[in-house]
Amino acid sequence: MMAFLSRRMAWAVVTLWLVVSGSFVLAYVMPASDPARMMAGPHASAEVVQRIRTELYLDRPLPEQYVRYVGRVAHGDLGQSYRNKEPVTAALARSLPWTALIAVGASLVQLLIGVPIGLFAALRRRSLADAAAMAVALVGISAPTFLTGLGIMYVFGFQLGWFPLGGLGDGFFGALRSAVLPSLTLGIAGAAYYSRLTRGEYLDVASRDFMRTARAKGLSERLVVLKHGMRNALIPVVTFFGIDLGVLLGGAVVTETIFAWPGMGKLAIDSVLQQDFPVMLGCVVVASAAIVTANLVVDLVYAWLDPRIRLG
Amino acid sequence: MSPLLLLLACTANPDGLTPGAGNTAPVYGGTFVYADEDDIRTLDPAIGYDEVSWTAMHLVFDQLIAYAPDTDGTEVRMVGGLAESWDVSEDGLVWTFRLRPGVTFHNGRELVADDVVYSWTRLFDPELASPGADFFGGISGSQAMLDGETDHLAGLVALDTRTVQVTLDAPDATFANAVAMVFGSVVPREEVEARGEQWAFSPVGTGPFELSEWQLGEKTVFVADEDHWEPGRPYLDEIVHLAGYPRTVQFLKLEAGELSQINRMSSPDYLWARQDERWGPLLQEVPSIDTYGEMMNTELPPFDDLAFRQGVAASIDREKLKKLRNGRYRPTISWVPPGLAAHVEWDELSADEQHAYRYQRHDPALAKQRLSESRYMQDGRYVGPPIVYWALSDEASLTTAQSVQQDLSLAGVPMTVKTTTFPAYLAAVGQPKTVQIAYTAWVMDYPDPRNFLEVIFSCDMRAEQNSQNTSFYCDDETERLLDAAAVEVDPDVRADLYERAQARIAEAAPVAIEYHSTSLSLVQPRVKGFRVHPIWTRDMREAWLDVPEGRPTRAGGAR
Repeated sequence: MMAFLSRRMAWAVVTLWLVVSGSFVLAYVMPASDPARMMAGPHASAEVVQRIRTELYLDRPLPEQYVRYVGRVAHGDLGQSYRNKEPVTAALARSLPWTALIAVGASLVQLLIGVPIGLFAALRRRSLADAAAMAVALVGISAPTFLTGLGIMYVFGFQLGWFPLGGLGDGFFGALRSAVLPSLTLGIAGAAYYSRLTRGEYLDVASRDFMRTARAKGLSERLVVLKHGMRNALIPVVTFFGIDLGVLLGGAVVTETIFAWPGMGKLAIDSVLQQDFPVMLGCVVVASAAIVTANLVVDLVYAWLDPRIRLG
Repeated sequence: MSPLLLLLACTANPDGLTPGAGNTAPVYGGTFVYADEDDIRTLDPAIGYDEVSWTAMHLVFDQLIAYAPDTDGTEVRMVGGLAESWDVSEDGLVWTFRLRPGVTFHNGRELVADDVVYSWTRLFDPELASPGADFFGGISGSQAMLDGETDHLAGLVALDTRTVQVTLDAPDATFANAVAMVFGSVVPREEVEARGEQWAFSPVGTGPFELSEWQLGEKTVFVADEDHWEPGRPYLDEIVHLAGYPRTVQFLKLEAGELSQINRMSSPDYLWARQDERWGPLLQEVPSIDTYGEMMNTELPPFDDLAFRQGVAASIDREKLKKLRNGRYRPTISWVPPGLAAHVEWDELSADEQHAYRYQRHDPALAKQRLSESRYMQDGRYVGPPIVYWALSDEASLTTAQSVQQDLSLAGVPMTVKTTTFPAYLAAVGQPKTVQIAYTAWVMDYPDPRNFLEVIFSCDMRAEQNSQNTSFYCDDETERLLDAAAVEVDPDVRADLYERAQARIAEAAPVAIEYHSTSLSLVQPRVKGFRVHPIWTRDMREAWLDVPEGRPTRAGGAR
């Protein structure tokens, strides 16, 4: 187990190092961007730009710049925002909790809607209900987020007036209430996918010998389905759930933009539009770290569930 | 109440869609809420140079000279702001401002002449790199300061606590306009220095509203300054700016009563609002003081060829663009917009005068003729380098780009469209020999032909980076006319000089001049006193909400 864990963690570190190196290329090497000019502002004199270049070590040889950059990131220093001169970590710390809130909400939507529908469809295989559930799931997967987001906002926010039309509400209950529609938007495509996954996995498990044995032992159908069937069918769902949670924590650009949600996705898109490279790269690093960590955790959980994986 | 019901009950409805209460006199109180797709970039008046920031800074800061309340798209009048009066010497070189007594900053300190000296000197701090330095660059000694030779402006002195004297290097009829710009705002030195880099996000001014809260990327709250120098406090208690809302969502929020006003609409929303019996009468369409078109880089092939530029300019169907934008554009031949000196209309020109402007109208036959005379066309086929048109990703820019692409295709000139973000666009078009042709717009900084012609077409405005002259056009005779107009104080002579300069530019076609736009505004029925402003976009200083219960001002008296 320790060897497996060490190997996986080493890969996680290598992946993050590649992301950080890639971000260095984007920010400091590409000719289109001049960090000193961006920081000084478009009307700054050549002397001021040169002074900032010196302060940032941008006039040093490229390998030296690279080592300094990686060293800073390794120590948690992601630089300063060009826009408001605040540490990038402060901007990320402000946004990450709100993204986490809708990521958790979306995960709940995915599980609480997707899994029951998948099971329902599997238990009524080849019925009209099965076809209808899978057709709805197909639409849910295929519909672009900006469309489902606006549709959900129009129905639940505008017509019914149950939830605010975007933005972050005041106070604890205000924030929770305003998180409902972004979470629903973000979770609906995942729910559709999970329903198809659950259905497929359950149908696969349903034909296994141990299910027949369970029934032969005289267990109730409810116990057979939930204890034996679903327990096995949910293993791949749990895997995907972990990876999805990592992706969601990296920020959902479209959903957060539609709902003016002050999370990582909106921070990322705002930093791109304002060419605030340090913030943009901070978002990339945090999103990558979230995905890498989620993958690592999933690998570990999977290995714990299925000992054969450790040998792989 | 159950947690779920409590959750659903937390409804915010700042002013609602219900009609006004019928008050004829303004009442006090209430919150005005507006939204933009972008956040306010900065509240440092020496740095901010974008529409969203200017609108907000107009709440927090005052200038020595202000635009009269009745200023609109066709008439711009200037009145005293923080200055109760000002005089200009006969030679136009010395401006003396007498400050209004009893003006205080939001921190309670009284405004004095030294604050004006500090605020305007600050524009020339090389470290700050203020875009405002260009507009105040006529003050004697400004270049020495920019060069770092001195730390004070020789031409700017406080004669006493209430008198400021400015000496210019040359007469400048637009100096009053510069003073009225946001760059002319007066700031308290002690607050600027104490707050350092956070000054831009926690400013202190003399305006009718002070900053109360700014959650970056989310919302900014301004509250009424009870002690504002104008008689009485503002009518509104609070103004809230929400950041990051797409236009479609802004429209929904207005309909739901969550916003007080919007000024950006998608085409379907605009068409719907215009014909809707409730919203139609509330829709304001105000001519903007701006001009749109295509900038053609005179240093890059194929636009380094005069005949090719003229042919392209004549190929563009301006009436089609007007239709594509629901009639909101006003096709034009004049880079200087209506309402300003030197604006021209085709029908009002003599035949001789029309000659210079003939390429700035849709004329397929003339376009074909000029293109055929270009070295980049052979036997009706384009033989020059591939043409890339730089556009922004917003609806107006994309619509224009696609329409121009279609027009040029009909003229036998193929072109691809490249869309990009605004900062990337600005960086690219401002670099020499980088962009061949680009969607372009100029929205005035101040209402004067100098701001449209000199800033965009002067040889001096070309630069290696962030060039304002993005066509890199440079013509000796045009330059001579622009230089002469800049120091001319006689309005008629000045207008004539700018007209002649514009005629040369129209004929040389570094730009295909297309249209002037219209500002839209949709307000809640109960919002009164709100104005679409040619400089500040939204003017909420005098706005009030027609709600049943008003409340008296703490300062007493009505505004």
